[in-house]
This record gives sequence, C-alpha cells and structure tokens, in this order.
Amino acid sequence: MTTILIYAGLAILLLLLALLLVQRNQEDQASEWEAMEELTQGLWDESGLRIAERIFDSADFLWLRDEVEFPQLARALARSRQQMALQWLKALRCSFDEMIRSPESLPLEGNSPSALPSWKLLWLTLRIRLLLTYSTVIVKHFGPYHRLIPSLSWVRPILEPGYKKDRYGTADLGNPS
Amino acid sequence: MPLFDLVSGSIAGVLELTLILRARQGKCLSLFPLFYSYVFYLLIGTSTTLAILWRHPASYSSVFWYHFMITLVVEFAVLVEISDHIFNPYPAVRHLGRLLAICISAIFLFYIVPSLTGHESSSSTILDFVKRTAVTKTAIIITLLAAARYYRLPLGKNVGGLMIGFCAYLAINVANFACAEKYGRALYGDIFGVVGPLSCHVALLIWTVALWRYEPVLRVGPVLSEDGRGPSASVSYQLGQFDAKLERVLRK
Repeated sequence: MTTILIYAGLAILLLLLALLLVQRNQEDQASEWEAMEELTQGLWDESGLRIAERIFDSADFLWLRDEVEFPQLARALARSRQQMALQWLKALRCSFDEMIRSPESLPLEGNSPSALPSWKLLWLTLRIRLLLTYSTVIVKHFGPYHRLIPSLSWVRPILEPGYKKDRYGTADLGNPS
Repeated sequence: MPLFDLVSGSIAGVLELTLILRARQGKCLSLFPLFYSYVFYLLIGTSTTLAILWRHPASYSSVFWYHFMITLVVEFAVLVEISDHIFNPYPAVRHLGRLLAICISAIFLFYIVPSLTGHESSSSTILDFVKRTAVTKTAIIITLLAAARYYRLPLGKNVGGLMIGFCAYLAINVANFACAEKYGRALYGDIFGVVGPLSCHVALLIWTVALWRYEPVLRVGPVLSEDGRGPSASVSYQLGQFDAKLERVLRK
C-alpha cells in the first residue's frame, strides 16, 4: 500500500511540477528584459572593468587596516565592498544570461572555421556559470577579498623557498583581526 | 473487454489520424519528424492490434505488449527531439538538452536495470520495467523544463503542449503500473485495462490541441549579429571574451 501511495503521489507531483514549470516559463518572457538591460549597461567598458577590479582588490582595505590603523573603518569598507561585489556579480549573471538567450539569426549550419564546436561552447557556458555561482557564494560568505578562483600559487613557495608575495595577501571578512 | 478495447482503439486511432492530417495540412511534419513518426507508428500499431482483436483475439495481448515495448524505446528519441527544439536556437546551450537527457538516462540506468531481475513472473518484470522507464522519462521532462526555466528560454505552445502531454501520459502510467504490480491481474486487471488506454487518450488530446496550429516561438533578446564570423563563431567569440574578462577581475 505504501509503495502505491508513493508512486501515486510521485505521479501527481511530477505532473503538477511540469504544469507549473510550463506556465511560469510562458509568463516571465519579456517582463525582466528591460530591467536587465539597465543593470548590465557599461559592464564591460574599460572603466566598468577597472571599477570591478577595484571592488575585488583588497589594497584599500589593507591600507586602512594596517597602515592607517582604522580596523573599524576597514571593516565597514569591506562590508560595503561586499555589497558592491554581489551587485556586480548579479549584473554579470544577467549579462551572461542575456548572451545565452541570444538566438541565431540564421538557420542552423555547419560550424564556420572560427567557431568552437557546440559541445565546447556548452562546456565553456557551464564553466562560466559554475564560476559565477561559486564566486557569489564565496563573496556572500567570506567577502570580496577572499581568493575567488582557486589557483595553485601556494605551490610556488614550496618549490621556490626564496619566493615572497608581492601583494598584501588575502583577507577574510569573518576574521579581519 | 473486447468492446472497450475496440472503442478505445478507435478513439486513439481517430486522434492519431487527426494529429497527422493537421500536421500535413500545416506542413509541419518535417518540424517534428521523430514525434510524427512516433504518432504514425502508434497509428499503425493501433490499427494492427484492432485488426488482430477482430480476427485473432487470442494473440491480441502478446501483439499489444510487443508494440508497447517498442514505443518505450522510441519515446526516448522523441524526448531528445523535443529538447533540441528548446535549446537548438541558442548556440551557447545547443546541446544542453541532449547532455541532460543522456546524464539522467545514465543515472537512472541503475534504477531501471534491477527491474529486469528479481521478479518471480515475467508480467511483474514487464510492469516494473515500464513503471521505472516512465519515471525516468518524466524525470527527463522535468529536468528539461527546469533547465529552460533556469535560462528563461521560451517554450512556445507546441513544445509546451508536447511536454505536458508526455508528462500526463507517463505520470498516469507510473501510478497505473505500480498498482498493477502490487494488486495483480485478479484484483486490478480490469481497472488497468481502462486506465492504460485512457492515459494514451489524454496525451493524444493534449497533443492535438497543442499542435493544432504551428506557432513559432517568439524569441525575446538581441539576435546575434553575423559580423563576418557566422552566428556560432560570434557566440564562441563572446563567450571567450566573457571568460577572459571574468578571469581578469576574479583571479587575484
């Protein structure tokens, strides 16, 4: 009896879910489009990129904390930069989604010489999407100065004992000392 | 219940014929080639089983089950075709539907295969197998719909109707086959014989309404410029740019 109830419940649930997804899909077509356009304007300009780099750069925070010795102010700056970073990542996600939703103007054709194969395009798309989600989670929980893209730079000091970091390093919002 | 089978088969036949004739009138047979081949196969199967019911009622059951088992496999191909209709116009996610369908099928293989062993009778094996494949196909449909929703890709009335029709048919089958497996022929046989064809009629009716007229999807968003590279190249260029700029900002 339990098995039947489970399968009957599953059937009803799946059907309702499908109906809901189809309905929602048809409702929200053009509504968010204009808002997104406004949000993503100037995102990829050189000045926009410079601002983004500044948001994620910990130099100001470290200068305020270590050189000027205003830890409270540094924390406030980090918090406001965190909000800006989240906004920037949101705008980036909108811009990326907008690009994905760009349909082709021509009927399907064989890949032109400079085009990547479709599977590679899909891989790149999924990679960027994953990176954006990961970055948002990291910024939300650890702040904008945490290393966003994992790298193997920690290997260098082990391999080259004389190596010194030319940067201040990274800071953790949760423990700004 | 030969009379019920006859009436039910006739209804299914009329709906299948209507679907095919409407598609032929609207010249959209080539837009959904696998789906209409599947409907055509259903039509041939329905008429053959009806003829057998008329002339050799004793062989009806085995012929029906052979026909039914083939449709189980064909339906996977139709689902892939539907996924292509959702994702194909968008170069960046063109193969996403196929990837999802393949991944879910591969994962659910571990759920389907055990149904082929461990049953005492062959009828239980078939019932369990059909039930599990129906769950797998419904999972594929839900995932495709969720992916389309996630990327806010428009479905359109035709593709939306196709998916809902399939989902209704499979959902009813899941519950029906689970009951049949549990209660057996003696207790549930008559109800099973009614609910099964009914699920098929529901799906055919939804498909007939959804595909009555071909309605191309209105795609919102900037159309990719060809700018001498071709649309696919344009997307790969843009994705590459996006990737490089993203790394420039985020890699520290």
